Amino acid sequence: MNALVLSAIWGVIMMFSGIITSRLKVVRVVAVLGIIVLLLSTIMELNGTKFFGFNLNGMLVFDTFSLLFNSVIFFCVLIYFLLSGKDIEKVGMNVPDYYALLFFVLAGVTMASSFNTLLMLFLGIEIISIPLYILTGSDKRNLKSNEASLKYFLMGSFSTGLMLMGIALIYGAKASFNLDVIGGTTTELTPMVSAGLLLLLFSMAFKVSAAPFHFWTPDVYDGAPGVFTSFMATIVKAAAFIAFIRLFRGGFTEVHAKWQLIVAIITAATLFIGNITAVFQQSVKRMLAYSSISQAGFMMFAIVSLGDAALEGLLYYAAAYCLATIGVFAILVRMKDYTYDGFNGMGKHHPAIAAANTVFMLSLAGIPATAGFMAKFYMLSVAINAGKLLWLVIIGILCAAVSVYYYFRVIQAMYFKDGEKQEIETGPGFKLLLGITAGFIIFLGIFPQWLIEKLYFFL
Amino acid sequence: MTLIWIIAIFFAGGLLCWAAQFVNRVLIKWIALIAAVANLALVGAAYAEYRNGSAPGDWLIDYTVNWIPSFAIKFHIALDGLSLVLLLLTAFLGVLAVLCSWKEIKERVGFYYFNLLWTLAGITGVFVAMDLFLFYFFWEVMIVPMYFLIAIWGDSNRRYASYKFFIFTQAGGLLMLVSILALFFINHANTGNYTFDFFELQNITLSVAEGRWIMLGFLVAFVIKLPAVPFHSWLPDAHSEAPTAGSLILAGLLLKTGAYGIMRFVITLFPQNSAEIAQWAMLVGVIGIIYGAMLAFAQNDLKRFIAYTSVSHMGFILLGVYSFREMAFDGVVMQMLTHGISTGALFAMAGMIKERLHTREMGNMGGLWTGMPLMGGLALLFAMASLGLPMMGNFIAEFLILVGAYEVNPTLTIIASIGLVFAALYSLRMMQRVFFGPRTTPDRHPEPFLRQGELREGSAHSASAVYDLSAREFTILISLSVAIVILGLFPQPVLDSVNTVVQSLIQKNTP
Repeated sequence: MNALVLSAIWGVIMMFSGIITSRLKVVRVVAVLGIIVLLLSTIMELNGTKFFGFNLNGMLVFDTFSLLFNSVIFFCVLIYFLLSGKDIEKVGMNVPDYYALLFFVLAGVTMASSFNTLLMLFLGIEIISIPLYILTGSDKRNLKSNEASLKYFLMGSFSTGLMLMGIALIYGAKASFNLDVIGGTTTELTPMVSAGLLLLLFSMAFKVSAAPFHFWTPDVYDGAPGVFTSFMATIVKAAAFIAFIRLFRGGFTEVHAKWQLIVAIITAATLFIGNITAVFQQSVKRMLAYSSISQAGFMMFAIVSLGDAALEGLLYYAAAYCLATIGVFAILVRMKDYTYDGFNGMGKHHPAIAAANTVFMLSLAGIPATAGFMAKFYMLSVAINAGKLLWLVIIGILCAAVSVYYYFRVIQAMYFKDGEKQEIETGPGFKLLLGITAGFIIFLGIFPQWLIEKLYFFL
Repeated sequence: MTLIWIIAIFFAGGLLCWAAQFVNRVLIKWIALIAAVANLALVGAAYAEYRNGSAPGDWLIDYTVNWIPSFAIKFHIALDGLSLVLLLLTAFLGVLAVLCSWKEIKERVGFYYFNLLWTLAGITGVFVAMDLFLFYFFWEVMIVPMYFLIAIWGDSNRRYASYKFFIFTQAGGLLMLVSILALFFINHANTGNYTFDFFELQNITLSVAEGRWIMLGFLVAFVIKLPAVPFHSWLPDAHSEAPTAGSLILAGLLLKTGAYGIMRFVITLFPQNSAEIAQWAMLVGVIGIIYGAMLAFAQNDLKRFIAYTSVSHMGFILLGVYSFREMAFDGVVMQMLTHGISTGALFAMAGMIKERLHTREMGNMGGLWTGMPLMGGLALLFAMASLGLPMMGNFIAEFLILVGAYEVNPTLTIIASIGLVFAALYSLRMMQRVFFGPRTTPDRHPEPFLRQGELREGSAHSASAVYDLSAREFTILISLSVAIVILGLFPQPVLDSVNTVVQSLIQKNTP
């Protein structure tokens, strides 16, 4: 609750900050301040301090899980602002507006992670999406950015249409939007409920870019300005996943066995398509787009198995994935050449950045001693524990082995190929922060207990 | 605590080496050497303690501490006779690997020794980890730095080789991870107890079908590493492209982790299922022996030649393990040690020759004995060891394996003994082409193995700068020769130390 209200307010503050001052640095500081406020207020709410006492009629439920997720996400956004704040300023003229839109997205994220009626789910997803349509097209003079924005808008509204349709059908069957009511009464699948369930499933699969609803992802991620791609691929994707698992855990746990296979097939397809296509990319940015699809495939394991451990696992995965991807993008957007060749010789010219980037890549590839490994381990173990899905686990394993190829290609380019020195604007602060992020990833990988305990403590 | 010290010294030494790069480049090598020697001393002390019989029970050291309690993952390391002899090998070859790289490595020295020591740390961990998760952890820790060793300091085709190495082992490792998780959950379903602990999982009861699939997950990971024949194709590339110390560690230690895994985990956890596939595994082993030997005979590249001899020798491991006889197990342990030493020595020599001639082509060598009588003599010794001449350790190993396996499957054993004849053929042919015959002064060749803008020592003057062993090189080779001869003459201490392990294996695997 704290964060929802505050993030909306802070969005407005950011809008007006552009009128009051023209100094971008001040705007950035205000934004960072805002995210710190959000983070602290969420943590305070976790400990029981609520600033706002509205009666929500049970439409939004801020339980520990959603608050915990929000604090993880706000932490990642903080890192994101600190690492990529300067790059947001380079996208275009309306910097305060970009920040405002980002804060509005965060308001949507808090809603999507704590909804308890389908209406709030719809609102949350829409509040996330609409600012993103704008941010995707924010590089106004770039044709690709415009195309991406239009594409995202068309496809996004289509999937939102599907979602509304699904909600309508469910409402028709259950006469309620409330997730508790739906979950309590859905013990078998009538045709209407199953149609609604499928439509919801497809629209959510679209939002998390699971195959075969992933086609928008590479184009949009490639076309959008790099900083915003980073935001979309991490924060927004994680939020969509939380909404996804909340919806299906809350609403359709009883009939889990009946839709499990469909989700398992979607997962397998996502893993397969994401990984195989990523192998053939020449641009690192596009590779990361496909990598985000394949990572989504791993997060889908949580939806497939749907246990308590899956919730924890999804949180852990979201944290590990977001940190690593934000780090990689922070480096990438400062480079001029987005192809693999652009990374050539980075190990020699920018040793510190290359070392951090190596850690991020290792984590994404799921090599032990990084957070990415523990995250994958979590997902595999929940899937094996769910039973009957060994084939899916094996596909996941093989895809993880394939993913080593394209992540290590970046490492190879950095260390084993010679290249011209690329100018990368870096200050000591940037390097330090990258180092801290990388260190944190390794810390989470070696002592996952630290975060897990936090999860246990609250869950 | 000794074990923790060993692992910690390797890890810390590696980090120090990396850090020392920014301070003083001469310091790096010495740090690495000190770390390696210190660990050799520690392992030696542990061995002495074991020999004196002051250590209680089967497990010389057993140390447990919680690591990730929510998954019941423990940092559990323990040492028994089998682990101990392999640790000795690791520490010994570790020192030699550092010495081997002394002059060969010229760029990014700190990062090189970092990777070298971390690989060794991973290998040490693999040999002592008794928690399956921890085992997997070390299994991966060992291959990532190895990947860097090959990919940065390797030869011309290093990128391809390193990729292949990594993806092969990673795929196998992940399958093993699935198996480990399956064991974890099945054990929980049976006993209500979450644990990755090897000691507790030993008592698990599995249905035949479950056991079969879970075992296959482990087995694939291990035979890729071993390597057995259909999975061996990463090995010649990785071995021949790696820098000398890399090849030494690959052949001497990494392959042994596969053999160790089969002995420690596969046949201990799945005795029934192992018995089921025993005949097939022996067959694969024998195919490896013959096929490896034939390919070795056909090689022109010195390092590829040695790599294929490894494939051949590793076939004996499968043959021996899956015959489930005491003698054969003894032989397998001996084979691990002696193959590590003799092949390590051959790779070290190949590296030394390459430093002088800048080629691995046997066609460009010939008559080297006249220029390097010392090396020639030692090379002859190791060629003889490799072909299984009595008095060398390899003879004992292969003899024991063949005797053990004969009881079980005479036909396969006889075919396997033909492999020994092949071994004589290829070893002698190698000696002949490299050291005997007319002295062919190699052309002033274009130095294909040097990277752009890089100058190596000796390349400035004539390429035929054949000079005999330096004191450092002599130390490396002579210590290896002493070791192999001692193992050949007095194998008993080794057999004594693994006796309890072998006995318990026999107990598990005799119906």
